[in-house]
Parts: sequence; structure tokens; C-alpha cells
Amino acid sequence: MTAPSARSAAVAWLPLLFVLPLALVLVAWFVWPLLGSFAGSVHPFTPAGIDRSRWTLENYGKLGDPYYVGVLGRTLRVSALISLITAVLAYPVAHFIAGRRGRTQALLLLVYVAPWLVNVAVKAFGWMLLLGPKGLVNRALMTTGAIDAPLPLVFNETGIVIGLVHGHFMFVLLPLWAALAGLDPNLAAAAGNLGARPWQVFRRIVFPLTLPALLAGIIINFCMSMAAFATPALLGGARARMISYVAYDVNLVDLNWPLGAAMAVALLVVVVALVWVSQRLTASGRRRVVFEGAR
Amino acid sequence: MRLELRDLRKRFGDVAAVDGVSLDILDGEFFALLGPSGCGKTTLLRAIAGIVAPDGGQVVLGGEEITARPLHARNTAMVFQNYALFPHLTVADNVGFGLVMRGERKAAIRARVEEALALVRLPGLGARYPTQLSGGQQQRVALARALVVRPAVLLLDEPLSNLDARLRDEMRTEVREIQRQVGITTILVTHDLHEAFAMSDRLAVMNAGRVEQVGTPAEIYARPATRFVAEFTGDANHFDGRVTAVAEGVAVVSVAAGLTMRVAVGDARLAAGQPLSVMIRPERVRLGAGPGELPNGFPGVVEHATYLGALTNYRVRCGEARLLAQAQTLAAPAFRSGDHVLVEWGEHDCAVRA
Repeated sequence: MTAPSARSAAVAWLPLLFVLPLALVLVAWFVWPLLGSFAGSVHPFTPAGIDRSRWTLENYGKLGDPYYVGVLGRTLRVSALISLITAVLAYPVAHFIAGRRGRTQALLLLVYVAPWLVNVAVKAFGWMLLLGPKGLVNRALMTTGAIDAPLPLVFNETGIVIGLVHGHFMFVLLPLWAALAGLDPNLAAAAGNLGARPWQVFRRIVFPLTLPALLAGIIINFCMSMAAFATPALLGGARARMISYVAYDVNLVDLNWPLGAAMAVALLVVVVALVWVSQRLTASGRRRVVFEGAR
Repeated sequence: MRLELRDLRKRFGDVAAVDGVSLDILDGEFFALLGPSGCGKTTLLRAIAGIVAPDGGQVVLGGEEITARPLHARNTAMVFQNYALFPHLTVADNVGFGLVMRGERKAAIRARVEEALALVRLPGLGARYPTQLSGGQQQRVALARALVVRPAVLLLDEPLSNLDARLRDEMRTEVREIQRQVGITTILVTHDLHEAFAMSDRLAVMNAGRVEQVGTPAEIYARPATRFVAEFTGDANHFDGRVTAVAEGVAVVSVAAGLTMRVAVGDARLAAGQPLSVMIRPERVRLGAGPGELPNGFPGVVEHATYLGALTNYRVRCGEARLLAQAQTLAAPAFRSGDHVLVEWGEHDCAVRA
């Protein structure tokens, strides 16, 4: 009578089979090269290539150079700013879309997803034409007399922020829309019925219940912005280099793979740490008591 | 507080959800809105709360018109069909929510939340989250959350429909007890006849956005104003016929099925030849072996007997007419299909509509 237990053991293994193909792909083409990068980062760089016979932390030491610290700082600052601006802009849009009928919702979502379907380099050149010193925006502002000299809208951090807010908007919008559309409308009605004004309904009910989705969107958006290459390279110019461009430079121009690997590992650690902290913050926020905060 | 609705109207696209409803609900009354799904009863309740803006008409609460007043300023409290408890807040925070919104002090809120949870017999569950409670417990939390703000009107939207049958019966009595204790004007929306009858002082039967009849449960059951009300509030035998003679408050009616019956019509002014509808509830129809004692007696044959335990339902054929009868089962069902019986009822067992 071993048949039932043997069978249930087989059933318990079955779900793993579904995961296996993708897991193998990830291990072969992501985890393994990542481990390779990490291994490369702890060997010294010599004119002859990587000296795998010696071990060192000097590549990580070089990251302490003010230039690299500055680049990492700019990358974090710009990515955080992009995520924040996107979050603030996405809420009203998600709320508006979630309130429409099914077909209208799908069409509006398509409009906001559309920028993602256009090549990033094409979008970047488009922004240059619009935002450049002789671009449409500056010419319009000067013609109307609003400004005397062109505003520096591209080839700096502003350009990166504008380009990436536009390019990565849907990564916050989509999870937020899904959360808002899935929210029981009776919850807002119940809060209003109990005396909550519209902004209190948002603050006490809608916002906390959609916060996990918002944070998920922000984290995706933040990671995408940290890793973005073409848009910051083209719209940031030489004055506002982000870490992706510097890593490219180090790896493919200087061919200093150990330093490049150390940069990749440092970036990974910073991003994973930030994601972990933000998730811990949401988990603890749930336990707060509302009326303990009353007068 | 007294609540008046004056010619309230609401359309959704081509559908008139509420089509000119006027009601006068008294202070402290337990009033039910009974009707099939889609009859507009929930829309009406939502219009009272201010969740839905009516297209026309007035809502008057305690003599004050509140039709245009926003949702949060109405002092009504609603218990939703799905309870709509805030999933991210504890039971205590759910119950205290309305008090926080009213700017009460922390100590007062804590005391009143405790009191409300004790009232619905859930003391000590304040620290739990709604998902950790059973359906019946969630229902009580929703009730506590509504009662704790001491609203002018308590609005109940099918509050018991998600509970299992036994718990539903218990909660009917309990909700009614609590309502008496607090003395609050309450409006219950339900499609369940027994719920409406068991809980309400008075009720309105609604159909297609209109009120068909308002009255006490006994009035509505015994004297339904329309055929819809008669059918929605239980089984009934209907006869459409014409008056052939009237004398001393009793009309002789000849109905389509070929029967002639004597029915009490009270002071109604009827003339011979006038059409009249007669309704008799099955439990008013008596079956016997004869001889007859009552003014209306017709020989018939039992077509079908359905044994229900305490009661037995019969379908009887009298000539062309088919009748439903219901009798208490004393020992065993008294008749079987094929038995010849005398079908009888009195003049006052019928309800008539001109």
C-alpha cells in the first residue's frame, strides 16, 4: 500500500517542473555570468588582462574615488527624483483610468504604454528636438517673452529626468491602475458614509490600500532608471553621466573588466538594499493604529 | 429621526432605477424595502446615504432637506451587503473610524468602541483584522461601526444575505433587539420576504423602481394592493371575475374559471357587472370530506400532495380551476392525490382588488 504516498510525493514535485525551464535559463545566462562578474571584481587589472592568480579589493577601493561616488550619487538622486515625480503624476492618471468603462480603460492604458513601444534612441532624439536650446519649447517661451535666454532642458540631469519620466511612466501606472481598479468601491463609500471627506477617504483608505502597488511600481521604475543606458547617455550629455554610461566606458573603452565588475556588484548591492528597506517599511506601516493618532 | 422621501427619481442610462418614490418613515421605526433584485431598493438606500445623487425629488431628514448634502455630512450610517470593512485596519480602528472623522478625543473613542463591540457581543476582538473573523463576526463589526457614530438613520443593505441560514435567523432577532435598544430609525433593504416580515414595523414592496404598497407585514400579507405584491409575498390563488350582485358588504363574483363565490368587500362601492380580482392565500383554503359549513364550497379532486413536515401543500382541481391549499399536518397528510374533497373558504378569507 505504498502507492498513495508515492503518488502524493510525485504531485508535490510537479509544480517545480513548471518552474524549471525558466530557472535553467536564468541560471545559465544570468546567475552564472553574475557570479563570473563577481569573481572578476576581486582580481587585479593588468595591461595583459585579468590576473586571476592574485586576489584584491583594490577595484572596490577605486569606487571610493570622488568621481565614481559622484556618479553613483547622481544616479541614485536622478532615479529617486524620476520615481517620485512619476508616482505623483501617475496617481491621478491611474485614478482617472480606473474610473472609466472597460473598453475606454484599455484604450487609455494603450496610450500610456505606447511610449514604451518606440525605440529609446528615437525618443531621445525627439526630446532633443523639443527641449534643445533652439527647440520648440524654448522658442515658444522666448517668442511669448516668458524667458530671455533658452532654458537648459537637455544635456543635464533635467533632460534625463524628463526623458525617463516619460519613458518609464507605465511601470508605476500599470500596478497602480490594477490596484485602484480592483479596489471595492464600497470601501470609499463606507468611509464617506462614516464622515470622511474626499481627501480623508484617499489618505485613510485608498492610499494605504494601494500603497503596496505604488511601491512595487516605484521599485520597478527606480531599478529601470538606475539601469537605463541610452536615454541618460543621449539626454544627459557629458556633464551628467550616470553609472550605466560610466560602467560601459570602463568595460568597453578602457576594457577594465575588474573595475566594471566591481561597479556592477556595487550597483546591485545598493539597489537590492533599497528595495529591501522599502518593503520592510510597507510591512511595518500596516500595524499602525488610526485612532491612537487622534487628539 | 423621521425621514421623508418626496418623488425621488434616479435613472441609469435608459433604466429608471428609482421612478418617483415617496415614503414617510417615522422616528424609531424599523422600515423594510422589499423587492426583487433590480427593483431599485438599493439605489434608493444609496440615494438616502448620498452615495448616489438622485435626478429629482427630495430627501428630508428630521425636517431638514438634505438632498444636495454631500455623503460625509449626512449623519447616516450604512451596513453594506459585503460589509465593506477596511481590510488594512483592525476591528477597533474600523469601528472607531467614524469617530476619528468626527474629531472625537482618543479616550472617548476608545470607550465608545468598547461599548459598541460589547453591544454586538464581540468584546475583546478589537485588535484583530477583519480577515481573521468569521462572516457573522464581520457582520457584527459592520453593525458596530455604523451604530457607534449614533447616526440619525441606520441603513442596512441586505446585511444578512451572506450568512448561512441558521446564523441569519439568529442575526434577525439580534439586529432587531439592538435596534430596539438603541431606538434608531432603521431602513432595511432585502429581497427576502421572511426577513422583511420578521424584522420590520412597516415595509414598502418595490417593483421596477416604484413602491407598490406600504404597510405593516400583516396588512401587506392579508390585503396585497397589487397582484405583484400578492405573488411576491407568498403563494396565492388569483381569480379575475365580475360582480354579479352586491348586498350588505358581500359581493357575489363570477370568475373566469367557472366558479361563483361570495366575498366580503367592506364599504367598497361596487356595482353589478364591474370587474373584480379575488385573492385567497393557500392556508385560508380548507379541505374536507364535507358536508360544507362555509359560504364558498366547491367539490374537487386532489391532484398532488406535497408533504413538508409540519405542513402539507395540496394542488386541487375544481372543474376548470386549479387551487393551492395548505394545511397543518396533524398525524399524516389527510388526503392523497386522487381523493375527492370539498374545497371551502369564508367570505372574509379573500382579498379583493377592483
